[in-house]
Amino acid sequence: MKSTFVIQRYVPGKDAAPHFERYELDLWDEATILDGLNYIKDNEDDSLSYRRACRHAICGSCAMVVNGYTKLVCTTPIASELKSGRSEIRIAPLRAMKPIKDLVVDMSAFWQHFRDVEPWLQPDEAAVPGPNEEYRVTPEQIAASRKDLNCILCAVCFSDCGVVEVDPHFPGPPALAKAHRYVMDPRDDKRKERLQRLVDLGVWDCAHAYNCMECPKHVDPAHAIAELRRLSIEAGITGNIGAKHSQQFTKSIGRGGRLDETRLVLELTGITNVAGQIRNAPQGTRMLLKGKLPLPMHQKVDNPKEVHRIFKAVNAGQQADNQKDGNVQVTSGSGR
Amino acid sequence: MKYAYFTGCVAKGTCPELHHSTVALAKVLGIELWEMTDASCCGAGVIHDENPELQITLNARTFAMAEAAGMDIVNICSTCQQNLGHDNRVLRENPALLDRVNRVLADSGLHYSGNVQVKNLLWVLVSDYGIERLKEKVVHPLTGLRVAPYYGCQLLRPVEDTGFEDPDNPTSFDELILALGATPVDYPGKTRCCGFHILTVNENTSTKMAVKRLEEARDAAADIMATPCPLCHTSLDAYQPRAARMQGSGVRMPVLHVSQLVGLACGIDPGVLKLGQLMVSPQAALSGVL
Repeated sequence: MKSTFVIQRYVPGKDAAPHFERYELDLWDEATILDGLNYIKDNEDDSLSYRRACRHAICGSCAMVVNGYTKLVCTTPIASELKSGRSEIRIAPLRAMKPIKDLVVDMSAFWQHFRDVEPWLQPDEAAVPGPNEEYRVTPEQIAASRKDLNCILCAVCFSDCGVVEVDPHFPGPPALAKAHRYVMDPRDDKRKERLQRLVDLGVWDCAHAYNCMECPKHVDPAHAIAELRRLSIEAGITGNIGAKHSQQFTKSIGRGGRLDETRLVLELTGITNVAGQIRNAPQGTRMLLKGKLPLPMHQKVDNPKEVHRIFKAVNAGQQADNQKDGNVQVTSGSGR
Repeated sequence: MKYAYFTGCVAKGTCPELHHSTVALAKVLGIELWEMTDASCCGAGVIHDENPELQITLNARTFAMAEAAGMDIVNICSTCQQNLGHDNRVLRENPALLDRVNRVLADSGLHYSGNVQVKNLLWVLVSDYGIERLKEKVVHPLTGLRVAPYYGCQLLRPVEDTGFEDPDNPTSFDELILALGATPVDYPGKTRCCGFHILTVNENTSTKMAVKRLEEARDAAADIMATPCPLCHTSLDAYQPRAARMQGSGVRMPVLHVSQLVGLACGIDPGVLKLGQLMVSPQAALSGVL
């Protein structure tokens, strides 16, 4: 099967800027993109640099951006990239990290985010069994961390995250999934401290774009992030803009069935925060002049009382559940 | 064709032009809309962050109302699509949960059996209505207009909740633009996030994301962008002057709603489509086709 690889080449210090080079290949039908890169390195240009090792999605080394989306090239067939009429395969290094050479990037920032979430068990020392005993955890107890444990640290989700792309402070999906793994571990004794730390690091800065759901190991970081947020509110960590936004939003729906955006922005800025309100005034005025502020009254649904009743009924049901086991529990894990 | 029309909050709030242009377009195309004036917010993932069961129950109420009326739901927002789609899937796959939710709905005289489909307007136009039929309604082809289709993120992912097309290589919007006689523009950010969902939580990062998308479309020589989602529209249009100033960008890119873009090609008056309510005027960009 014929294909054209267009590969980003760059040697810092030697090349003024990254540039793309074309390679024409004719490989077997089932060849992967990694096979193509190996072919080029073996036969056409041995200076081409890229990371690879295991060739079957275990080591997590060969993540790169293929036609705009980050993938493990060892499990991506050339054929799948050429379907839907695409004529070439464009390969660039992982995003949000500095290129070292060609397709190899400096992953220091990626690892720093992992260090920041303290990815090791911090148990209550008094509860830790002696050296001759196991510290046992049942499969049921570890189920909530099961997906997080599949992470191979490949940085596919990190590279595709739209927030990571512009904000170097955001921990990114993989470090947050790793943090979730420890928050959910029954042996860990630092849940509240961890949640507070994650709020400080930016767990509320995730923009819900779900790019991280295309994980080659199905880790599901978006679900982990949603659950960390819920648990942080549950733990009483609510003095931050993310939790306030979530709580005020939900309250707004409870009042009228529909979101009152104008009131939400006013409340989140703080009614008595004069400087903040002044800062928002030009935007508010622009929207007012365009007829984008629904005045004088926010439009509610026909029967806001029915919506309010559902709020009360769901809360009552959940409170009853907390007092007895065996009911259907709905958690953030319900598919998200 | 008849649908239960789920407006969502924003088309009834800060994006009224979306609602008005949708209603006008549906009329011209002969699509009947029953507006769900009693449907609550989809939860936007925000209620889900705090209490997933509450969001699912509120959305089950919406599905039950559409089911009772015997209609599928059409929505005009990617976040509504994603959240309604997700909650609908979870309810359909989980009979015990559906049962629990129905016990709450029973006191409102409602019941959901899991038979409603949730579709974004873009999908309805491309798939249910059909490109060929749409072409017949185009009386004012937008020849020469370079349109950057902004698919955004939540209409495409997660695949199990949306599932309409390949999120890495979507084509529906491009097909729609071609049907209107305009030219779709390819650009790197068409499926990446506009930052809306953190606009109030982290405005600096959010506006950086929006400006990046706008500049990507500009650099691909687009005359305008178009979006199927009022939240993307808020980030990209309503906040564009503020975002550009915050990020030191000179970008100026008109952004139309899908309903406005299709409406123009179908000969609907720009005043009826409320183009005047766009923050960044599309007048100069559209001068060649209007």
